[in-house]
Amino acid sequence: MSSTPLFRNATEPVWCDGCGDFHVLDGLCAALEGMGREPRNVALVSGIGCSSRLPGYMESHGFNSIHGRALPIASGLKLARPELTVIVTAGDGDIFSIGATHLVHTVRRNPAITLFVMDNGVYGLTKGQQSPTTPPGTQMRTAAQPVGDASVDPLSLMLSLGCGFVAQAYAADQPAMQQLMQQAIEYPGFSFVNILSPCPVFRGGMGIYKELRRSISRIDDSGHDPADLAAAHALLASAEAPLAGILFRRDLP
Amino acid sequence: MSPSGSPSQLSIGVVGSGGDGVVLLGELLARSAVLAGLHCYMDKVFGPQIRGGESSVSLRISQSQVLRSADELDVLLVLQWSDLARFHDVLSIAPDALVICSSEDDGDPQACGLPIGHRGPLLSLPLKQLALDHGRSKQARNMVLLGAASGLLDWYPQQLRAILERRMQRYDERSRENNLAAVAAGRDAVASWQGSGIPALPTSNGNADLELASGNELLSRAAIASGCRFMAGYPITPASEILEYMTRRLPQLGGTCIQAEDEIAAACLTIGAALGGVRSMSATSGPGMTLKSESIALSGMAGLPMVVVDVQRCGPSTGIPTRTEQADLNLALYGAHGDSPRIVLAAAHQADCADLATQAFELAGEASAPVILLSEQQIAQGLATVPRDLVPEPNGSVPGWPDTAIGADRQVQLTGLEHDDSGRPLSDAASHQANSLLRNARVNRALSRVPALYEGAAEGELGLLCFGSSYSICREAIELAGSRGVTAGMMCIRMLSPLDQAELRDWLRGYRHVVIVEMNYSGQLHDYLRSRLQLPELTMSLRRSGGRPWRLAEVEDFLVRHGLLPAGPPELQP
Repeated sequence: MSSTPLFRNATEPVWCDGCGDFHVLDGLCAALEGMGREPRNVALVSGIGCSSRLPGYMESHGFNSIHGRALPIASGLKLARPELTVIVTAGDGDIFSIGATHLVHTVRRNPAITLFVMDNGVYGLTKGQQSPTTPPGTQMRTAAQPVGDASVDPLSLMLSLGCGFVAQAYAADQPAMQQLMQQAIEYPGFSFVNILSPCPVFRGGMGIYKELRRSISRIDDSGHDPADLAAAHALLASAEAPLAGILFRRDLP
Repeated sequence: MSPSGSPSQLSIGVVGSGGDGVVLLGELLARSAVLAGLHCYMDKVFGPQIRGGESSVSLRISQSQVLRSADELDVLLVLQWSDLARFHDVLSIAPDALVICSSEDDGDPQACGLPIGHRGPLLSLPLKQLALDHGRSKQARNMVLLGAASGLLDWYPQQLRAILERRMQRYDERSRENNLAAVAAGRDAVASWQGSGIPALPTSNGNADLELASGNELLSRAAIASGCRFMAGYPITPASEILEYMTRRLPQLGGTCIQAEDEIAAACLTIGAALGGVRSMSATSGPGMTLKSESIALSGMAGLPMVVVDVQRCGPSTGIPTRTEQADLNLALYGAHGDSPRIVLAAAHQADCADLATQAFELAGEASAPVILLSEQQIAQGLATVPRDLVPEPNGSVPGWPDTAIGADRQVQLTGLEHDDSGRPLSDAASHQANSLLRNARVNRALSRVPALYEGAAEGELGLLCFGSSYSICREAIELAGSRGVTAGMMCIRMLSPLDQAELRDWLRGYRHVVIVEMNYSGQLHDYLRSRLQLPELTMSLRRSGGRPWRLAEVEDFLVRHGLLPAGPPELQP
């Protein structure tokens, strides 16, 4: 895991050993450098959570703001400075719970910004509460009973909202994640990549990496046409394992 | 005040149901008086359901500047008596007022609020029938009423004609003809009326350079003139007009206006635009202000400029959303978690909305901190005459907020965490103390940049101290005191935070008795000042909840009751 010097600053991340977010940081630095972007033309906006510390570890402009509100802040910035590459880095609690309203309406406004959600299915910063993507039945260390609420499926949600670019990546599969990141950043509207970024400390231990690597199903291998919305819904409905790749991409003028 | 004996001013009330065209009727009267060179003030008061209920206007025209509607109406125009009943607390009708109403209305005038013992002329006209016959729609009743009132009062005929023509340009030819026919029918219906007691109009003293504008409009125009090119808001009474104005105007100037999904998003969009260096604002009312408080704290912590307008209405919760109050002072001063210093300004009247909006953008940029600009329903939606050149047109210079923005030559790292100069998080107590001091110092640099408004004697028996729209009642109260031989002066604080304590202490020393005047139940200004400085022993608090503008009689009663003002001569009965 070598850092990319151009985008990575000297600050040591606060993340726990084995956190998937290290991979996301490395991947994003490599993706941006690989696209020939300059740190001065890139702004990262985040909310609150483990993943939201990411902008502070990069040489680009960064704003670690308030819980759930990264999307409207990033939207305001993009409207003010359209020439900037604006990226939101967020967690599943940040985006699908406290900030869910903004997700709905950012999709409607369709600004040319990219949202990377580091989805670990847990509130890691506060040490292990259930998040909207924690599967029902999971026993959290902070609760007396297993999770009873149904979980949010990020991909299904984003398809339903009408997002023009919906993809999922696995943090530890660097080449595939970097490629998806670049495609999302190049997309001329609002783009979304759900990144499965494990939290071994509070969800599943280190074994979760092995399990994900074994179970992930690559969308590319299925012959799926990302321009076909109905096929995207169908693929998602029939999927028995986590998907990786571009699920839907609507061509914009 | 006797209507016929008051040639310097005249007040008119209009009541009806939503959709009756009450506001239009009021505005046509007001705008023609302004065109005739008179000063004017017009309150708009709506029922609590905002749309679909009852509505009223209270219009006061005068030879000199007026900043509030009159205590009593000299003329009352009624489209429907039952609607007056909802405004009995807002519209007080002089005993000898001229009243024009509908003969087709079965409402009982006295039961609906016409004073018992009303002795002025009362004309009942078949408004609906005349509207149908001449205006081809019962919707033209307001035009019939306009014709009748303007005919009886001889309302600035040349100017009214010009204003009507201007207004009718918005309609197609058929509607134009119908409306003008309805006005003529109303005029004809009163032409042969022989009664007496019609109040005289103030004669023009030729103020050709006045225009009629609301506080919300002036605030919006001044924001744009000050370089604001981004606004995000969420619809809320009584601030929506700002969003509506900016939605139309900003795109014409290359700016952006967003109707956000909620108040929080509106605040955050504004912060994002500031990070991009664009002067930005949001506008809301109390409930929305509460929702924005986390973002306001972020602005202060991250060191980004922010301008938020709070147009106050009756609270808490939904309260009376259409009516005026000054009860968000605590919220503006303290509304956030942690020590969250901010600049708080409060507009005293319509023209002041423009002045303070201009200052808000300057101060926010200089302090890299939030500026909260308080307005009030009464000022925001009410219309007043202001100099036509009060707000300059945008001249192409758009200053922005470059100091804290993302720039081509430097990296910007911001965070809501406690942090050092380069945005790296800090978590030790000493840094937190030192940075708290710095954040306060940034805001304190604005100290004394927005002077208070002073009127009357600098020293004397009685000093009135207030903020916001209470300015206008205090100004009239010290004139009244002067007319009864009491030397009085007043101070209206416009910058509430940071508070210029030295300036206040100097002023307080000048008076034997001081009364703090504010429109909220708990005395928020009184408590705030008492927390900041030693108030003189003889300081009193005149306060009540909002819901309607102050009346001079209320202040007079208070002062007389407390021995600060001799009682006036008993009213002469004819």
